[in-house]
Amino acid sequence: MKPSKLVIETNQLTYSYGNSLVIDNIDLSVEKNSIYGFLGPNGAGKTTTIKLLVALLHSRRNSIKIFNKDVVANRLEILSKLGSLIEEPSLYDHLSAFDNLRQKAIIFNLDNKRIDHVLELVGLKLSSKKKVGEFSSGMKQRLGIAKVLLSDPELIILDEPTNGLDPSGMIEIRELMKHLCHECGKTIFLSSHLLGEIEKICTDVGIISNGKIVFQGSLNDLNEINNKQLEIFTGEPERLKELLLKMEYDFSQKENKFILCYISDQSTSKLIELICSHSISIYSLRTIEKSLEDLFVKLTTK
Amino acid sequence: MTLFIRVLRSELIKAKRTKGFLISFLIPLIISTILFIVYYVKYEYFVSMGVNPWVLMGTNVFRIMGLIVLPMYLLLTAYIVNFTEHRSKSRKDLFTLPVPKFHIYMSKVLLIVIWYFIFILTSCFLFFLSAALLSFLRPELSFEDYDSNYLIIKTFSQLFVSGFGILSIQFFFSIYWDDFIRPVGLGFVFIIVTILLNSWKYIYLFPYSHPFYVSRSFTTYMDEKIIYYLLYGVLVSIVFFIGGYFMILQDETK
Repeated sequence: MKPSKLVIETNQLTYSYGNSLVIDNIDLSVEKNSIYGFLGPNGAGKTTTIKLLVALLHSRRNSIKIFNKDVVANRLEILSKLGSLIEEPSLYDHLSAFDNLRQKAIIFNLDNKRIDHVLELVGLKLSSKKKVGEFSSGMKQRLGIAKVLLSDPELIILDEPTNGLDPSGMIEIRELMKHLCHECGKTIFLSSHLLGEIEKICTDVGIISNGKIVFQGSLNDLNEINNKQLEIFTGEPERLKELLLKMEYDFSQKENKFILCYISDQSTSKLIELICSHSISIYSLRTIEKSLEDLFVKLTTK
Repeated sequence: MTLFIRVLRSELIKAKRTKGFLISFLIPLIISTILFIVYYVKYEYFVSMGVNPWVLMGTNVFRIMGLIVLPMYLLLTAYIVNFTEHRSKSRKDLFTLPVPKFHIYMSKVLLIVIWYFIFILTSCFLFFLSAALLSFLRPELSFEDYDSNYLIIKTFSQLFVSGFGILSIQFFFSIYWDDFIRPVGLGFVFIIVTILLNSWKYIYLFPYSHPFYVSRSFTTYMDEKIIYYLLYGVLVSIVFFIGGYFMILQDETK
């Protein structure tokens, strides 16, 4: 049997807080060596999904596989190859940055060189002796990421990793993520409510809204779907409307402007022929590309 | 076992510079210093009483500790150990470590027991140090005429065991509640209730009274009963420590 390339796989993942269904039959597929962006508005269920993935919450059915193994039955084995940062970083304010990492390094039997290395990766080498209580929120976020990277995990799960970072910090972390994925072969699952962030680094995207997955695929797929539209300006809106209805086109109309879904160049050509054959006057016809932002809003505000 | 030791070492790093470690030394030091000064300055008064100075000083120390200091110390340390995690919201981090939850829980229990042991050991050491200094500086107190080492060490040992009931209950409260007011406030109310009802015949069923019973037994020699109270306290602590573990197991980090 061919080994699965999926690092994370959920099968109809469902979770409720009391009577409130917060995760509704989610099927996630995250491939090895990809950067998967888990996108959704605040309160969509991103953090709950992540907590289910790392076994902090338990679904009634064992419907999560990580590294092709059931999360509940193989919790410790999976956690040994996984690093996660959920919500804000968990740091001890009374300890230095170095000691915050050391207390974790001891558990993983890692030496001080590894601590220095990850502090350097996130740009905190010079602040290693400083108490975390004196850190800015951006520095704390970097240290939280360093803590995740400390054990050199195969799968990195980050919940809103660029929270609190300044623009240059965001760029650095993005570059670090790309480096970890492309040069070190890591699989990265990161959640965000910022489309721009996902767009810049992710290879694959899952969009969650009200606990349901509304899109899953590559970033190119996301760009493709329903992203192009045809915009037609006509002098005879009534006649064009009548024709489009008769031919069962899906469209929206605002006075003399019609918006139709773009399907292909061939179908556009056929439509033009059809309009011309009915002698309907056309002022302009063009394809317009919706931004991903528009698409995201459309997908998540149903 | 090596994994458990690594988890415990990690706990010891987290405990660095926390108040729990500090008060384990500081409280015994303050009590011993005050007693030393009182005995040094007012030695004539104590000499005039004509009793064994070990028992006299021991009674003072054990009364203070048994009634208020030891229970308060246990309230604070149980709070500090768990508050370190509550404040940094690190439960989600701890439970995503590739370590059994039992190791994490037991390392915390062991840490607090180590602190408590340091507290008792420091108290005992400083008691003997004070007595030795007083014996040298105020020979009139005649510490050298009596040998009460066994009695003192035995009472400190009993005091150590007598705190386990309080320790386990406060530890349970401090896991359950993430603030200062509820676990420490409730513990404080229990201490006050113990003081008010200390002559009630069933007060021994309430673990907060056990250190007080030990301190009283130092002079009243109610040894036989004390053993049962201590055993009962240990049983209560086992129940609450196990209960705390099950609470952690059931808890979902929302």
